[in-house]
This record gives sequence, C-alpha cells and structure tokens, in this order.
Amino acid sequence: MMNRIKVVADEIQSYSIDDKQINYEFISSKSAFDINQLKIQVMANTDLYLEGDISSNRYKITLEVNDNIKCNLFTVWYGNNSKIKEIVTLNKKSKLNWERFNNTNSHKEMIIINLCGINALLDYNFKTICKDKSQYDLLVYHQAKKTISNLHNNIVTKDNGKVQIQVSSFIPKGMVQSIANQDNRIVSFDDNRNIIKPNLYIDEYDSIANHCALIGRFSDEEMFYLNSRGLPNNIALQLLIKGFLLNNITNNMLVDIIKNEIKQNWR
Amino acid sequence: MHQLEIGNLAVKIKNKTILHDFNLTIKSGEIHAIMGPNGAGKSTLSKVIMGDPNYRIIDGQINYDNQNINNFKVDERARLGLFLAMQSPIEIEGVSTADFLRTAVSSKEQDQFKLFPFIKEIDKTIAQLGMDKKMIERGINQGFSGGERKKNEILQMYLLKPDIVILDEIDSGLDVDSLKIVGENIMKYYHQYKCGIIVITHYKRLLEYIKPDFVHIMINGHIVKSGDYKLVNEIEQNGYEQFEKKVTKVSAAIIKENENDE
Repeated sequence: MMNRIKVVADEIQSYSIDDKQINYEFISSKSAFDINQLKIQVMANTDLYLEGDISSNRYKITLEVNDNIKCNLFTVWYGNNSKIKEIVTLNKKSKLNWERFNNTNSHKEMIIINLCGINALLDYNFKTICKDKSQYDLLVYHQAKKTISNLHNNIVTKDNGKVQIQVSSFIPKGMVQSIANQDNRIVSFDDNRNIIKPNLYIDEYDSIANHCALIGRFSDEEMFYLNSRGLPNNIALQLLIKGFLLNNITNNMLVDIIKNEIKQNWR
Repeated sequence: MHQLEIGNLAVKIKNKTILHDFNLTIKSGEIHAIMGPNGAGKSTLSKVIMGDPNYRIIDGQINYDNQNINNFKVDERARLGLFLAMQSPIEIEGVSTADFLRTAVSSKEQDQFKLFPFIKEIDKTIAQLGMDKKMIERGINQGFSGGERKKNEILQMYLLKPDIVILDEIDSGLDVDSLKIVGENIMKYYHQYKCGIIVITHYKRLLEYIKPDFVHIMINGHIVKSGDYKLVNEIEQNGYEQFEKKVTKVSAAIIKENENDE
C-alpha cells in the first residue's frame, strides 16, 4: 500500500495512512509568523507519497526511519514564495530512497539529513524546473560508520529561472567506511547566473567521497545525434529534458507529473 | 529510385579546408565504398552530408532527388531518407533507446505511427542482431560496448528505414562475430529495401560482407581514384602511399593553405 499525505496551505487536505507503518502528527501554524509542522515516523517497510501546495507558507517537516526499515519516499511540492525545512533521520541499517520533484517558484529550502545508524543508506534524487529565483541548501551528516549517501540534483532553469544550490556532505573522524557521493547538474537555457556549491567535509581517511558539478546546456553532439534520426530541435530538446529529469525516478505518479510539466514548458 | 548527388563540394571547418572539389553520385541499389588514410576527410564527408552545422559549405552542392539540400537542417535531411550510422555513437544519459526510437519513428511516420507494429518490429530486429532486449530500456548507448553501440545504430536503421545509408567505420570496435552479424544485417536491409549505401572503412574485412559496386580512394578531402572491388585488393596489398603521390595541384595548394593557417 502506498501511504499518502497531501497538504494545502496550512492544513492536511487528504491522507491515506497505514498506522502500523507510519506515525504522523501535523501542527498547523497559528499565525502568519508561525511554521506548519509535519512529523513523520516510518516504522515498517513502506512507500510514502507526500505532496502539497505550499504557496506563501513555511513548513518544517521531520521524518525518521526506524532501525532496519526501508522507505521509498516520493515528494512533490508546488506553489510560490514558500520555505521548507526538512530534517530526516536514518537509523541503524535503514534505507531511504527519496525521489522528489519541485514545481515551485521563489522557493527556499533547507534539507538536513542525519545518517545516525550504522549502515544507513540514502539515495536522494531531486528534480526541478526553476522559472524564478530559488535556493536550496542540502546538508548530509554521516554520523555513524559505514553510512552511504548518493545525492543527485538535476535542475533545469527556464525563462528568468535562477537557482543556487549548496550541497554539503560531512564525514567526521571515526565514521569509517562511509561513502558520500554527489552529482549536481543544472541545465540552463539563458545566461542567468546559476550557482552550485558542492562541499565535501571529509575528516576520515577510510572513506570515499566523490562529486560532480555541472552547469550548462545540452551538448551539440547530443542534439546532432537526435536530429540525425529525424527529430526536430523542439522534440529533441524535450527528449533530452525528459531524460535529464526522469533519470532515476521510478514512481509512476511522479513520472506523470514531470512529463506533464515538460510538455507544458517545452511544447 | 532515390539519388544523392554531391557536386564540386568544398567544405571548411573554422578556416581549414577539409573537402574540396568532391564529386560523388549514389543511387538506390548501389553500394559505394570510400577508403582512405586517417585524416582524409571521410568522417567529415559523412557529417557534411548529414548537415552537421559545424561544417561550412563554401562551394558546390548536395542534391537529394534533384533538390538542393545545402540549407536543409539535420532533421530535415534525416526525414528525407538519409541515415548516418556513426563511427562513435554518443551516450545520452536518461533517454532510453526505446523512448528515443518511438519518438523518432513516430516523428517520421506522424499519424501513420502504430505502437503495436513498432514493438513487434523492435523485438524482431533486436533478436536478429543478437542484442539483449533489456538494453533498449537503458539510456542511449549507456554502458554499451563498442559492438553493442554499432548494433544499436543498425537497429535504428531498420526502424527508420532510410533510403540512403552512410556507414562511417561501422566495423571499428567489432569482434569477428559481431562484424558478421552487423555485415549480414546491413545486407539483409539492403536487399529488402534496395537502399543506396556509402560505406566508409579502412579494412577489407567489412567489404567481404558488404560488397561494393564502386570503390573510391579519398586523400586530403578529395577522391583521387574510383574503381571496382579490385581496388580494395590493391589497397590491401600496397596501402595508400601510391595514391598519396597522385595528389592533384589543387589538393597541394589546399594543403599548403591549411599549413599556412596553422
């Protein structure tokens, strides 16, 4: 069963939760200065689909995955002028596969992921089409031995889209055999200044850390190859964007949303 | 019956002349082999025919069925019926071969496109080429070996059904068994669709499967000799040195001009 929670503005609009798998609590903001809070605990192997229109709202979401539990988390945020802080905790031998898409404008987000238990594993795939100014700060703390984080951020900017993404991975001393991988890419169709700040703070010799950061357009070779099979520029471009934004996305609902957004933005 | 006619073609990249005074006519049902040493301009020729915008035609014309296509875009040429099987097909992450092929075929066939026959044909061709069915679900050429990439090019040829096929060193990176499969499948396509083929190669081994009607020796961006299959044996025995001596006065002037630019 797919657990689902949908938030709109400052309330939960709908939900479908198996309380043996997921425990959650929602605290609605009491004033314009207050923050909406959603606390989730994953107690059994499960899939969770979290979506919401978060326009002009501030959110704090905390998610904890219990020992030995595997969770597939799918999130879709849409709306304008929003702020989110997400704090994720992975306990011993837990696994989180997080696939997410943001259809947001003027959005600020901070994601803190704590790999607290030995052998905790995180696969993180973030996709967004940015048409305005947005800022992301992703921090991953390896707080136990043999923890693994694989981070993939794929962003396409369009029109006046301007994005800044800071991705920091921390492996302190003693967290032996931990692995931190980062792959951050922005495809841009204009001359706006986009920024990727990839940081690897590694204080343990017995660990592995990799990063890739790339800002640019699709290559001429890629376009030539697709054109040479009869695809006109607009369809070739749509295909390349689809490949870029759907890579590693397994959830069908997320796939449909992303495909639809691509269709609307690149006709 | 289709015809590709290249007349007095001269091509530059940046300020360097790559092709000059190049003439070649190819009709449906004909197989032309173009052979020549490294740097002769063979791959450039294939890209120019396909319309690669990095190359500038400074003289001459490329006609397809008596229509000048010098200003046609790459995709327009492909939809006319030209197909280039590339020497080093690139990898495109995230775009699956299946999705790409479906988009390409439906873009060509428009309203005539039907999914079920497409799937049937793709399955049949994959089996025929000895490819792993799962490969088409992966990104285009992602993690493919050299041989698998070449087979993928032939798979695309089968599905797009071009009238003129350009094979740019399709034999490079192929082991003996894969070469046989690729060679035999190209000939099967040739007999089935009576297409015209330009096969660019260094080696006789490919031409044992794809027997050319005409063989052209290309040196410094120019055809210096044309003949039949006997020419292949001549090259096999004596190499290209004898032809390099036959460089025309025009070629010599262009070589000098390029050297001065450098």
